[in-house]
Amino acid sequence: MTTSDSPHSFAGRRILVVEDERLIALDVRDILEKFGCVVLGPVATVDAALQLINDENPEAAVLDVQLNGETSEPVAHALRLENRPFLVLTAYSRRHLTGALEDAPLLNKPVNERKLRVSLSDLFS
Amino acid sequence: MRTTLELQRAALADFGLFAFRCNNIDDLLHRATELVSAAIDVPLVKVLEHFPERGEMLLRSGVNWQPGVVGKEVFGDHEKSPGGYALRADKPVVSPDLDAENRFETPDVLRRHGVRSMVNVIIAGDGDPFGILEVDSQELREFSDDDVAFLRTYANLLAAAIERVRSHRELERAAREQGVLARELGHRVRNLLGLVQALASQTSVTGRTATEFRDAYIDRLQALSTAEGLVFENDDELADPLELAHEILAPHRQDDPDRITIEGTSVGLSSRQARMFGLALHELATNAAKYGALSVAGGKIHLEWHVSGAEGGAERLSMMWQEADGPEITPPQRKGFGTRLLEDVVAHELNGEAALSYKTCGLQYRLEFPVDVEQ
Repeated sequence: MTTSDSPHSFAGRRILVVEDERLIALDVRDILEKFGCVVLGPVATVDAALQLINDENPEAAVLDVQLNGETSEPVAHALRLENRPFLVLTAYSRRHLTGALEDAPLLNKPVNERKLRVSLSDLFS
Repeated sequence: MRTTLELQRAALADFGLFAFRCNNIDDLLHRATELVSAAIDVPLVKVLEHFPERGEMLLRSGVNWQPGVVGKEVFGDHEKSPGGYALRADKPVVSPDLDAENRFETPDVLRRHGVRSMVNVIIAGDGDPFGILEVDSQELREFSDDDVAFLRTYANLLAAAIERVRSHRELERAAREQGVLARELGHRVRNLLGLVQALASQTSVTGRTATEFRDAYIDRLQALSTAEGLVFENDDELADPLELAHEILAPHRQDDPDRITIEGTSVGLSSRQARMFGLALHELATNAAKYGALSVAGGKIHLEWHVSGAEGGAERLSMMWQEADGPEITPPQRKGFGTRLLEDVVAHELNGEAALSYKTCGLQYRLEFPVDVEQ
């Protein structure tokens, strides 16, 4: 594993955050900003996420799966087309991941700062 | 050669064993009509299922009927139909010669099949009868008391078997539902833990002692817990904002309820909406106790909301928190968790709009969001 403990290893990276629980979204944003990332979003809907992928060209993404009645599968699909890595942050287990979400690195909620750092580092390695 | 009685006993025993193993009502009924037909030596046997709400009896199962009859033919359950008559008679009905029958009319389908004599017995049910077991003879036949007794025993056995299959199905369904509920609950707990953690990391540590941090955090958890509790207590999983407001604000109103007047209508909030409504009121009250109207004697707060229907759209809840007669207030220099929650989190989570105004007469908070009353 090519894990770096340096807090600046992702400095300047543009990360899209898709999460519909606002408190958790803000928490993830704070953690990513602490890592030095530039956070795009957080957004809570598929439409808003696709818009940001189109307009802001994120380098990677952190995706929640269940978004208030829809799933982030179309977002994952769009990211795969753009060849952008992403990880899934969810309360669900792996067998609930379908389509473009399948096989994605998975972090279970509640979000763990250390694990998020390791997973992000793997995304960029 | 076996006697009729021996044949009938064997049919009962065979069916008893089959019924014990069978988990499908159609298989059960079909096997029953087959065995009855053989044991009583009458080709045409059928089971009518009663649908009281539709006033109908469906020819659900049978043997030796022409194509297009079984599963299709429907009779009325009125007293002029053989089945309807038997349901009302509440005992076996024997009709040795249908041409001489004047208690009910012979349906066309029986005439087409040349039926001349019949016996009908009730298949009991849990509550209303399941229906009728009917033996239709194409030759004139006097059914003996033994025949009728056999059919009654058979129908009772069938009734018990149908009940068994039905409760088996019901148990299976309940077990499946239980599994789904358990998984749902698992997700809900995880989501809630996520929220609990976010509350902890969002509760500021700057300029606070560990004790102060703990108290602020626990107070927020309690507001969350109050909202969750109200949702879970209700069978429909909805919480009433009026009840929620009274519970959340109770600590600030116990000495003098008039310090915070509450005026609002009852409506059903989902768990997500209830959490945010509860957390918002908690933050407002905590802030008022520290810096606002509740921090000085004589300060008052009025909380009110109403629900109104937008044209063609969902109903919206408009809420206002207005403080009065408090100290002079100024906007905070640094936006803490409370402000962030009230202005940002609540609005996003409720898919609505929220605004905090630091008016000279006192702090004002307005919140508006859609409530789906039908949910």
